[in-house]
Amino acid sequence: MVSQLKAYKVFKKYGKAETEVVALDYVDVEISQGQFTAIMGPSGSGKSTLMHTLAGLDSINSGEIFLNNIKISNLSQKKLTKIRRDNIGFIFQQFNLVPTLNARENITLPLDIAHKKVDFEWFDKIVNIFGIKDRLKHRPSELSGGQQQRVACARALVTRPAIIFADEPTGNLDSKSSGEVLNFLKQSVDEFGQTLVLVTHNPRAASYADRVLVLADGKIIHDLAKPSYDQVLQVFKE
Amino acid sequence: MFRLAFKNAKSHLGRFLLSIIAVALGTSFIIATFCFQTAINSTIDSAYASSLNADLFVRGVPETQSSISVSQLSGITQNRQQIDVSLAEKIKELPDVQIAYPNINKSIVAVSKDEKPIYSLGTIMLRGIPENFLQFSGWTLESGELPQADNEIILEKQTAIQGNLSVGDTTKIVDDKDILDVRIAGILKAPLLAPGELLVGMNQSQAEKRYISDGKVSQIAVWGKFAGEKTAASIDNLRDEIKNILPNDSHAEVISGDQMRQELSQNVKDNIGFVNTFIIIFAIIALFVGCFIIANTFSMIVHESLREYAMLRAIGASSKQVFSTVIFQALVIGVFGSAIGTLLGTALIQIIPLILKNFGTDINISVLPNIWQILIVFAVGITISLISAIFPARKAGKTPPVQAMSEAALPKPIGIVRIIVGAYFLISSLSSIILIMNFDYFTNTLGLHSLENYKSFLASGAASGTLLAVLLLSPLFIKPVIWVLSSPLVFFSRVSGKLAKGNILRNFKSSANTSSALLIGVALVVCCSVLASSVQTSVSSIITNNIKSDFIILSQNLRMPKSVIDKVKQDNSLASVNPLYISQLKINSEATPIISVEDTFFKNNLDLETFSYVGDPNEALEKGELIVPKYLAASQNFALGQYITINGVDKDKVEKDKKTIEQNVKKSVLEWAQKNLKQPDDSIIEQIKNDETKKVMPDLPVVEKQFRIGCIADIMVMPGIIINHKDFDAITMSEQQVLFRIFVNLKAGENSEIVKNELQNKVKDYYTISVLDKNGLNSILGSTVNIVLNLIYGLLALSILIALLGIVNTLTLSVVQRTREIGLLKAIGLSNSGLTLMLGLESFLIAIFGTVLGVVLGINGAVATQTALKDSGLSDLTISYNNIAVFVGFVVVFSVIACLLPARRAKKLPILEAIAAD
Repeated sequence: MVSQLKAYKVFKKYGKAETEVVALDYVDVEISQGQFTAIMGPSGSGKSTLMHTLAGLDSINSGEIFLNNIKISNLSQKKLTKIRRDNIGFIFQQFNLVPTLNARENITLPLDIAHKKVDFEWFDKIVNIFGIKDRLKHRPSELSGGQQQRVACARALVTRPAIIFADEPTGNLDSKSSGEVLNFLKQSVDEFGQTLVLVTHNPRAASYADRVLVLADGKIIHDLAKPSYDQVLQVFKE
Repeated sequence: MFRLAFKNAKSHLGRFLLSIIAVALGTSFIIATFCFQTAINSTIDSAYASSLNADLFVRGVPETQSSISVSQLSGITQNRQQIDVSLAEKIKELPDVQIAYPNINKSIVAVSKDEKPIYSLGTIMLRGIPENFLQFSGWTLESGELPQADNEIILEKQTAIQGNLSVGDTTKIVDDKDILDVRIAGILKAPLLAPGELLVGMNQSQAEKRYISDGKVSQIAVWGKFAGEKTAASIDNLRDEIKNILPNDSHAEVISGDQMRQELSQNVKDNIGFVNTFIIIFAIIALFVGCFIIANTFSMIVHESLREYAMLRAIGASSKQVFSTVIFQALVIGVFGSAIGTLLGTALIQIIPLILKNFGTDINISVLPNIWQILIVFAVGITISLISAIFPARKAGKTPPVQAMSEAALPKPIGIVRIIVGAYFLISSLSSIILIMNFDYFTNTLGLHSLENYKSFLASGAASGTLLAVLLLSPLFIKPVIWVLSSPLVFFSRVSGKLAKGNILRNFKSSANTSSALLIGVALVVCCSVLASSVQTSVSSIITNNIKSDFIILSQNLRMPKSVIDKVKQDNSLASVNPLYISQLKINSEATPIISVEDTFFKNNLDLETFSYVGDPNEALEKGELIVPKYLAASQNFALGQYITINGVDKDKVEKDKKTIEQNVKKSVLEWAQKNLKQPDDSIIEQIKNDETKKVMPDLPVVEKQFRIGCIADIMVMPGIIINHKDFDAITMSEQQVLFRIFVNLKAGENSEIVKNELQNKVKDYYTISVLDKNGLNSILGSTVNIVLNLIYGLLALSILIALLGIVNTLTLSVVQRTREIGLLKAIGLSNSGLTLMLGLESFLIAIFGTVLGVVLGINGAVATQTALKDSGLSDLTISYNNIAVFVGFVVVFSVIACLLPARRAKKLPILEAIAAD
């Protein structure tokens, strides 16, 4: 399999001297194309930091990160903005949508920002998968939490990014809505070969993934391929 | 709970600071306005502090109805009788008096080294300087010596500097009699001088000889000898002493120097009362703009914190506690904001002396607010903060917690009261406008003649009513207007345009309020500009249409020496030379301007076709009848054919009395010579003359003369009752006749440029006299209007500046409110320039909304005013679109600059923290 994202010896610490906390302790990781990777771990394990550094949202102290063989670990903010715009999709836990724009406008926002044309065939396919076709004219305040997250997923997909990072996308949803959102995400990986990195502390969510990385104290302690829910739960109990 | 309020403020320091800035901006404009007023008043006060620094003054009592004197002409202060010069001698004999001398104060023109008139805010004053002036006056001699000989003068230092003159130089001064060649004997330094005040001194006895006629003066200055310190009580004592020796028939009174100075400065202040009115209007505008900014910021902040207050309520805080938390914060904001505003406003006003410096006036006045003004500003700042906070605070306290939590995201609808009041203003002002536009129909056809009196009231009501209505209703129509305005922006910049539009409409109320602050300033600027250009075109159309003469000769001082007429008449290429004299004479005991012209004046100089009049002006002049201006006839109820009485001087009797006096003087001089066995010297002859005059002609003899009103006319260029010169001369002394204009016509075939140059050469020596053709007249009027306009623009620019700072404030606040959203936009790839563009467009849309409405309302106000004043001379309406385009461009450019600060803040937001922010 082709690697989409490679990270070597990524080291990241916060604070100085006595208050120093090592968030990432020389982590090596490769994310393959078309794979659904979940990053798990308890609070403070460094999973969010790992995602943020991989996505170019946060700087690192040492190490190298390559996205599509482009080194992004020492790029300027301006170039990073462009890389994020063209190659990376984001789904956050909450506040994913711009309140003044309706659902359709929110979905096409990254394309508009990049002055790219909307591929309507693709757009229709995505909104169909996420079941939000009849909600396109609505403002975020008129959508339910699950619908809002589905719109956010559609927005992440619409640019056909090299990779999508989802940070606890179901953290604020009830189990039914979370199930729906995760199913849709899995479907997009399976059907369109989308690369997806999901950060979660929920074993149920992680069990949708093709591969689960478990972090603790800034290190990857497990790398599981297609684990079942019980396997994930088992690892988590340790 | 106060600890909570404190913590609350501390945790939202940014918001807290922004509301303090809002209060500071609002109050700073008020303090700046106050300081401006202080500056004007202190300028006037100090103007008299040193130039009239005698301990006491003796002056004439107010004129009775029948008496009359030359002094009436001097204008502002004196409707008082003249007093005898000899009183000075009598007062000097008192043991406690150091010196007493007739106070001579004449406005003149002085010429600088490079042969130009020395420029001053007012006119330059010439004063008599007694021999021992330096011993009592407190003035010091800088160089040279006091003037002794004929044609020697001394300059106050400031005048010398401005005229670039030094001791020994020769120059010219021009008084109302003639041009004098003078030598500068010395330079004096006054202890304290008002800004722009210029003084020239002449030897006292020379000055008396030149300027005192008939042994009468208007004032005598007195300096006392005081045993101990000079106190108010000791001056009062001296006053009583002098009072006791004044003869009963002297018509004189004694007042302290302080009282005199106070009266004079009060007089000036009364005369420039319109300035105070202006300042009050600006203060109200300041309050208005300030209120908008403060109230707006507050409602945004409280609204933002609603969820937090809801949480407090949920964990058990009473609504009263929540209410007082908000109010307490408002109080703190009010106090700090007012303090900063006071400092800011004081700093802003320091610009004014710099502006005046550009007009050639060096002002070294420190304009600082006094304690009362500061207290008022604090009261206003705190009150507005509290009032602005009360409604949101009540809401924060009263709303059930859960509702508050969910409501926080939704904009509040516009209050129904606001809509009703706004609609009321809109309907009533629109109907006033309809009424004014069809005024003739309503007054004449429907017979509502009483409306005439309310026309200007209706006009101002309509203008300010529409303004209020738009201010109240602007949140209602900001949506459609922004929709239209932003559509091209959305087309050109999809993302930033769409986001900007959305952000403005989301907070449409606060957007509307922010632009309202700008709207007020722009409306006033546009209104002033349109009115000013209308005044200019109206006046210039009068000049072009109504005046036939080729040239008009006039002076910057409004009065010219009579010798000018002869100089002009020497030119033989002129077909006619018609001088105009003006004098104030009493009609029905009211001083009224009377203009005297020659019989041929109308025929030569005015196109009578273009005026409205009843009766025949030419016939009236020939028959010795009066031509009364329409406005005067209306206010005094004068009718055509009516006889009115003018109080004048009985010149026949004056001539007779003068002969008698001459004979008596001859006799008395002989008697004196026989008695003293020598010839009397000049001063004794002068004394005898004065005594004899007093005996024979103690006052100018008055005559009441009846004149028929032969014509009532509306002639804008002639501001008074017109009379023919023969009749005028019969009832006025030569000193009373002020030559103020000369109308000149060319012979057929003469080249007007050549003749104009010749005439200009002839009057060159008078320095302030100009020969103007119609273009010249127009441009003089234009520059006068422009000076006034510049001052108004200066103050209004302040209000616009503050409104723009209001935009900065609102935008910064909205960046703070939208932290998460901005983080998100950055995360999905919106570049910094895209972000700046978004905020720039928001700023632009708010500004353009306010500016467009401001322009519309400003023009509306100007049209209403012009319609109301149409009959009073504002005949044309000129909207100078160029000027308006410049204002709009100015506001737009600055609005874009206004976004830079909030944009910097937005750019610096770290993405991760922004998204995680609450």
